[in-house]
Parts: sequence; C-alpha cells; structure tokens
Amino acid sequence: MTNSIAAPASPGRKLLRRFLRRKLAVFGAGILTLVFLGALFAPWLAPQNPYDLLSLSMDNSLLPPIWAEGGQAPFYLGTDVQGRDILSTILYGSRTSLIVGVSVVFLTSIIGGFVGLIAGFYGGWLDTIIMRMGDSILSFSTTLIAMLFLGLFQGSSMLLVICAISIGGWVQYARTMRSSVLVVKEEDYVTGARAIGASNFRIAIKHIVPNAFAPLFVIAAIDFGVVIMLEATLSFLGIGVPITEPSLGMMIAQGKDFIYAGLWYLILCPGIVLMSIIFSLNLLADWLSEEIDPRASK
Amino acid sequence: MWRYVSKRIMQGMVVLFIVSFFGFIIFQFLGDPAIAMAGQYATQAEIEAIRVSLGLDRSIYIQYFNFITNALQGNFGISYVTRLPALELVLQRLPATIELAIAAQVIAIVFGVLLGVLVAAFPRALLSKFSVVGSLFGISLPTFAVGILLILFFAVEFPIFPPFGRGELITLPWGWETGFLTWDGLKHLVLPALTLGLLQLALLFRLTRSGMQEALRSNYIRTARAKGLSRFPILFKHALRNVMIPVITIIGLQFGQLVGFSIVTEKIFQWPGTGNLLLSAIFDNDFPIVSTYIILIATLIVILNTLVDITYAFLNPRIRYD
Repeated sequence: MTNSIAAPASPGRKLLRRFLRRKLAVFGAGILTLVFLGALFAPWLAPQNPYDLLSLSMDNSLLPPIWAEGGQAPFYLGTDVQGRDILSTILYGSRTSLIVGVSVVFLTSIIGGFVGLIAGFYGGWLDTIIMRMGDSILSFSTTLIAMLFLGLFQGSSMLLVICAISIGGWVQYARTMRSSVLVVKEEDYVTGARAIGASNFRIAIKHIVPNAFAPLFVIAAIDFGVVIMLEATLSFLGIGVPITEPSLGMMIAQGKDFIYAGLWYLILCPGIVLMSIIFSLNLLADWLSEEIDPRASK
Repeated sequence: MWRYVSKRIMQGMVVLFIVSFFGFIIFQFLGDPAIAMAGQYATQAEIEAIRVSLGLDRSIYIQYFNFITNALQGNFGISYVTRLPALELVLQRLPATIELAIAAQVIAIVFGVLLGVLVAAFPRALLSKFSVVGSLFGISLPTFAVGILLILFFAVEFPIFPPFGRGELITLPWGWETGFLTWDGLKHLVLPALTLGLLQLALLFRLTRSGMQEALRSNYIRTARAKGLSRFPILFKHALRNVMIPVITIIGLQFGQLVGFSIVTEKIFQWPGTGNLLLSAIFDNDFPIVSTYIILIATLIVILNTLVDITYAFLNPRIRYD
C-alpha cells in the first residue's frame, strides 16, 4: 500500500498489463518468439544446412531421434530418407512459413485496406463492383483459388505461392475496412472537416484511416495462422514451394509415406512445430479481438 | 423479392461467364491441344489437320464462342491422357466427392452446433472447458495433419478403420455409385469425413457458441425464462433459431473451402473423387480435365451460393429491401 498514489499509467503500459494478465496469450507470444528466433538464427543454430546437397550423406538416412536406440549425436531429432537432419530442416522450414505468412499478410492487408477504403468512402457503382467481385472470390475461397492457380503454374517459387494466396486474401481485409469506413464516415468530425473545406484525400487519410483500421489487426492475426496453414497445405500437395526449398508441409508429405513402416517421428516434430505456430497465433488473435471489441469478452 | 432473386441469378451468371473464360484460356493456351491430341508420332500435316478440325485456326472470339457452345452441350473435349470425354471422367468421380463433402458437413453441423449450444448454456461444465480449448486445436490443425494423425491412430496403431479407398459400393439406378448403403462403405467414410469436417466443426462451434452467449443475455430469453419455460426448449427453440441465420450463411460461404480441402483429404485417403483426378491431371498437364473440373465446381458453388442467398432473403426480409 506504499504506492497508492501512482502516476496514471500510459495507454501502452495499460495494454501491456492487460496482456500479461492473459496467460494463454502470453504463452502464445512466448512460443512465437521462440519460433521467430529459431527461424531468424537458423544458419547458426542448425547442425546442418539441409539444402546443401554436399552436406548430406545417404549413410545417415532414416536415423531415429537421439533418445531412441541407434540415434546419433548431431541428429537430435533423427534424419529423413535422404539423410537430412530433421531439426535443421524444421528450423529452415519455419523460415519459409514465416516469410510467406508475413509477406501475404502485409501485402493483402495493404491492398485490401486500400480497396476497402475506396469502396466505403466513394460508394456507388465502384463499391458495388468491388464488393461483388469480393463476394465471388470469397465463395470460391482463397484455398481453392490458390490451389488451382499453383496447379496451373508449375515450377513454382515462394513468390508465386505468396501471389497465389494473395489473389483471394485481400477480400476479407477490404470487407472489414469498408464496413469500418462506413461507420466512421458518418462521424461528426468528418462532417466538420468537410464543412471547413478539407479535400476528399485529406479527409480519407487524416480522419478516416486512423479511426477505421484497428479491426484489420484482428483479421491479420487470424489470417497469419490461416496463411501459414495454407502454405503448408500447398507444399504438402506438391504445388507449393519448390522441392529445393525447405517447408514443413513438404516434410510431412515425405514423412507420410513412412508412417505404415512405424517411422512416425518423421512427421511428429514438423507437425508439432507447424501446429504450435498456428495455435499461438490463434491464442494471440483471440486476445486481440477481445481487446479491440470489448463486447466479445463479456 | 423477385427483383432480388433475378439480380442474384444474373450475378451468378456473370461469375460463371468469367470462370468459363478462365476455363477457355486454360484449355486453349496452356499446352497445345493440337499436338496433344495428335500424339507423339504425328506428322506436321496431321497436326495441322487436327488444328483445323478443332477450329484452332480461327480468331480467338470464334474459338471462345465455340468453346461456350460446346460446353453448354456437355462437350468439354477429351482427356489428353485417357482419350475419354473429359466431362464423363469428372462426372464419374463426382459422387465420391459429394458423398465425402456431405458426410463431413453433417458431422460438422451436428456436432459443431450441438456443442456450441451446450457450451454456451453450461459454461462451467468440464466438457465446456475441454471443447473451448479443443476448438482452438481444431482451427489450428491443418487438414492434412488431422488426416495423417487419424490414420496413425485408427488405422496403423489400432486398426479400426480402413485408411484408404471407398470400400464396397452399390450402384444406384441412375448410375450413382454410393458408399452410404454398405457397412464397409460407411466404415471407409469415417476417417476422411472426420478429417474434412473437423475445421468446419471447430468454426461452427465457435460461431454458435458466441452467438448463443449473446442470445442468452437478451431480453426475450429472460422473458421466456420468467414465463417458466423449461431449459431445453428455450435453448433449442428460442435462442438457437436466431443464431442459425449467421450459421447458415457461414455454411454456404465455406462450401468453396470445403471443396479445396476435399482435394487434400482425397489425396491422403486415396479417395477416388474429383480432387484426386484434378491433382493427377495437374501433374500430367491434362488441361481439358482441369478446365472441366474448374467449370463444373464453379457451377456447383455458384448454384449453391445463389440458393443460400435466396433462402436467406426469404427468411430475413431486411436483406431483400436493401
């Protein structure tokens, strides 16, 4: 009780305090930080560069993890059929997941946010065309569109995967931004700005965007996990990142052929890592949506 | 009302028109149909003859017009690999996909909605806490991982369910091969349907739960309770009815995604449906099949979505007067 007359906390500090009270969200953030660090420092952490063919040796093929009988020292989680170290491949593979995830979320939220702003701000036929197009894309789903797109453009690359997911990905950002803009547009301060003769551009950038974009964060947090899941799915199908690049989805696809032989550890570790990334993102998204929409937490 | 319905149908037609254009481009410009049809050992003259017979020497507008007329008559060209009509090949595989999708959808709706209602009504029960965490896992597990885990547990470790194929089928009079009517067919359906339905189940659960939580706080529920109605009629008749509208919308909207993930599920369980056909066509550059699949699936999606929207407008007058 000595500190009863504390200075009023800043909004940032309040947010942090509320965040720390949510154990699940903190847990998710912790796991994500770990994965981020692992991916960032993969070249220094990994015992082997799994995609440098010279460092692979068939002698090491299909070694079990270190705790099982026959496990060998640098291959802590065992090796795959080509003698690739599984731990190293996971570290490099989560790099691919995170790069695709960050790029798609960044790209689609900017494009979608912009399109939604235009649709909501100007309305009329432009709004109708954009939103009808969005509805159609949504009914086909980002998943199906990305699969068909990549299926037709073979010899794919990471860039192509990012584009494929973005074709449908912008829509939900546009819809969210649009409905948010429609509300903000009617506020008194916008009418005020218009009354003093501010230009459309100035009203949109200075008054509407800062008050309308917060819900995009919730969408982005959920979407991040969905995109990572989709990248893994595409690579699992063999139409995602090329075979020369590490990917968690591809590891699981290759390991799948060995589950009948009892070699479950080939898919266990990549599977757990992939799932914990998406799980942590969903924990954070849950917290964020309650934070931004307090009605949900009642 | 009729203005809304006709507007909605027009919109569906426009979407199909655009999709047909993509189908045309894939069919005509990815790979050379004339060379693919003539085969490896054809002479230049033979290839030219086929080019003329397919109308590939005409202008692009005429080619597109021909493509549409042919498609409307059910002629989508022949598969480059098997030399059989593409439409026939896709239609033959369609029952497998549709039955898988129906089974997955039923599992998702029944369990997702039921659990959602119960958990909103009894938030302190052990089952509720378990379901809430479980649903987070449900939306975090990629479909392919679910499939492999199910195979690992229920087919490899404890061989209860078969891990691939459709099992014993019965051919219905109109040529539809169904697995719904045999014990073996149903057993083969369990793991794939669970795999495909789990994500949907988790999404529907979360949606129903939050909708029900809101509905249960509302005045009309308090009135019903004050009137002395018992618990379950309140939950399932009064509250759920209002929650079902967004749930139905989501089910309609998620259909495209269900088709997408059915491709994954079919690959894992070697399910002989359209998804597997599409994947092998993609790897064989069998473009007529890919193009047929896209147009057929798009037609299904557009019809289903239009129906959902129209039903929705019938149920909710506010929509149609927008």
